[in-house]
Amino acid sequence: MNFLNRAIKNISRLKTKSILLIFTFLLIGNLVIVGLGISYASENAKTLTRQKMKPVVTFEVDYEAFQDWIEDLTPEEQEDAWNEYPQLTKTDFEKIIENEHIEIINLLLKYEVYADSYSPIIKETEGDDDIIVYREASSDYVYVERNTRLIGNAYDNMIELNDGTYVINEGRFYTQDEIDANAKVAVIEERLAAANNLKIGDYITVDIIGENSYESEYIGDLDTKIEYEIIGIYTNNTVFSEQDSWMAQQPAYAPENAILVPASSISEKLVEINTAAWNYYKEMWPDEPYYQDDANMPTVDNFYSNYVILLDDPLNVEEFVAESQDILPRFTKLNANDELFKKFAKPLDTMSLFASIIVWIVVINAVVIITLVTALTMKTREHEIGILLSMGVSKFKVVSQLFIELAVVAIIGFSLAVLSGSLMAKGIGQAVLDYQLANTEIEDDDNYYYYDDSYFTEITQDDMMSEYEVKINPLIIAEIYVMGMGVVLVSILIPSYMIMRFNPKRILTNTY
Amino acid sequence: MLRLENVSYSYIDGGNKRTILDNVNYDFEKGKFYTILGPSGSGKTTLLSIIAGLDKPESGKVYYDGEDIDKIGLGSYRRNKIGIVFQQYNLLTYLTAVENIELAMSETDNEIPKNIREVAYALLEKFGIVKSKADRMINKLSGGEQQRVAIARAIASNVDLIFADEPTGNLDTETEGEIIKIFKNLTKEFNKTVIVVTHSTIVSELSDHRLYLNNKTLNDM
Repeated sequence: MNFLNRAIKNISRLKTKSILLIFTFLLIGNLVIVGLGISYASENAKTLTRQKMKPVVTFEVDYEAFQDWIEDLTPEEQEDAWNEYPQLTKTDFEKIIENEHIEIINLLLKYEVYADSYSPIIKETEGDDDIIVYREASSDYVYVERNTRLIGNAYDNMIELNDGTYVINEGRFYTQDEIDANAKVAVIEERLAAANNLKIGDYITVDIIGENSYESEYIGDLDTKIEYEIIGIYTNNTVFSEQDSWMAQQPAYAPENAILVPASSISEKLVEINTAAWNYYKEMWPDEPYYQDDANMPTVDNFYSNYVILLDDPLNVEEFVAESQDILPRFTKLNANDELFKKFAKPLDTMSLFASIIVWIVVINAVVIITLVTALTMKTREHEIGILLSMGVSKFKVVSQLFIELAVVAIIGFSLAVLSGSLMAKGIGQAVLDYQLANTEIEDDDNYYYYDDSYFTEITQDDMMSEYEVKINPLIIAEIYVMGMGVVLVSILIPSYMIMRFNPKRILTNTY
Repeated sequence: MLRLENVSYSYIDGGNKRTILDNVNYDFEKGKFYTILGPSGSGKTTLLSIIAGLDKPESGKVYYDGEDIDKIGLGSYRRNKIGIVFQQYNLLTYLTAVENIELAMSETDNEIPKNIREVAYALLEKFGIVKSKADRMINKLSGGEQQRVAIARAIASNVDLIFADEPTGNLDTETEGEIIKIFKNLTKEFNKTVIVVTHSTIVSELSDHRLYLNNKTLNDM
């Protein structure tokens, strides 16, 4: 008749007490399961949605922070403050990208130019000419619309190559050595190649200024043309949204006319041309302080348009952004499209928070209730404890018997709760979500992203909510049993200590 | 077998120290039946609690076979050296009679036969509890039967020293006589030492040694 046998006999022979305790644990278990179920479902929906999102982070100017800073200054200070307008630089970016989770970096320089040695693809639309020429009525200046886009990266891979937007069909992409050496190599679109009968090893020339008369004023004799050797042919699978479909008709933005080149091959020429312009204006406007300060002279950083990082896993985005906060220059930020994500996740966060609060309240109450119930039960059993101790049964065995008795009824109660709670959790979880959605206003996102500036995966609240499914997984079941055993242990130890700190005589004679 | 050496005990009552036992000395011999008598409140039960290891003396020592029971460990002492019979029987009510016997047998470190259940039935039968009654829940037995079970439990763990506190206090005269015979028999048949605290002169007259606790000391009558 060891303590285990005694415990089992106590449970089976004192049925009313056991059933009442099982019922108590069943109620507590149901509440905890509903709470944990909702909490896990909310977190899971966010994780699954996050996993579906491209793990992209962009390095950007934090306009809001700058604006807030400016607004707090006096009008005099504000004038000077604009000189501190933040400038993203490659140097700062390089500090951020020293991270093991980075897969691909797009530090892009995009520049619209003119086809020189070949014909760009022009989509014929009614009433349009091949080349659009604007003449200003009041002057002799002529502006000819650009028809080709150079897309240069400062690194030897592109996110677009990774996600299938660009597919190399022939040849290869440029190497880091070629970027570092300002090599004039290009990967052209297959339709452009076919239209011009171009192949790998051929050369094409583009002109940065073209026939624009007002630009030629300050260029002088500068050579504005760049000759590229074709090293690869790719397919551009860019799909424009309905909102951006007009761009496909513009020769400079048409996917067929996009040429992939090392960023250094364009930046070198752009700095040269813009420095010529700078000197021209410096001479023309000697009283203009901006042009008299050489610190404002054009640098390569003026021409980078996109600082984009592709990480290895969507679940590492948050950690990466958090870790990089300390090295971010003033008025810059890392954007992980979190605003939209957080906005959509708001109902889930609210539910998760309330569910967690409920779980904690229930657990704390459970400890109190079960401890009180146990204490009351123990009061009726203190004589039995006295008997056992008077027979020399160790305190450990007495506590073990009491623990097993309560643990067994708790396990039965929790097991029943797992069955009933999973059904309840589904119903309650969905009802609470519906209520939350009905009462949470999602503001329309006013930000309009220029099509090729957005690398973020478009998500909707429906995408996120479709991932919300309350189900009782093994982790929740394990958690409720572990939590339950903790509650049982605490509720046994406290009253046991209160009784067993006295000697058997005092316990038996109830004189403590 | 059991020796009390300068055992004293007092407690605080209404802010005043009240001494119950004052330098009590006594040697109990093996195989004898002792009864301790004394007026109410003289400290008989307290003395029994101290020598049974249920309470500790304020000063003095209790030796079992020459060894300080504190050194043996009070839990081990109660489990392996002694058996106690209470006035209220103190049996576990959610167990049957035979299970109460098994409990004592399974907890002791003394050598116990492996077929515990059979031995328990046999032991109970010796005390007049047949198998059909041995399988009953404790509260289905009469007071006399419960006390027999309690006595059987006290010796079930193969101990040599039995203490009893007013074992016949709740029993009628006929049953009291039967219980006393059992105690008497324990000393003769089983060579146990029995120390009984009682008010009953019937019980004390059948004992080998009658001790009287009065004025905080214990003396032979």
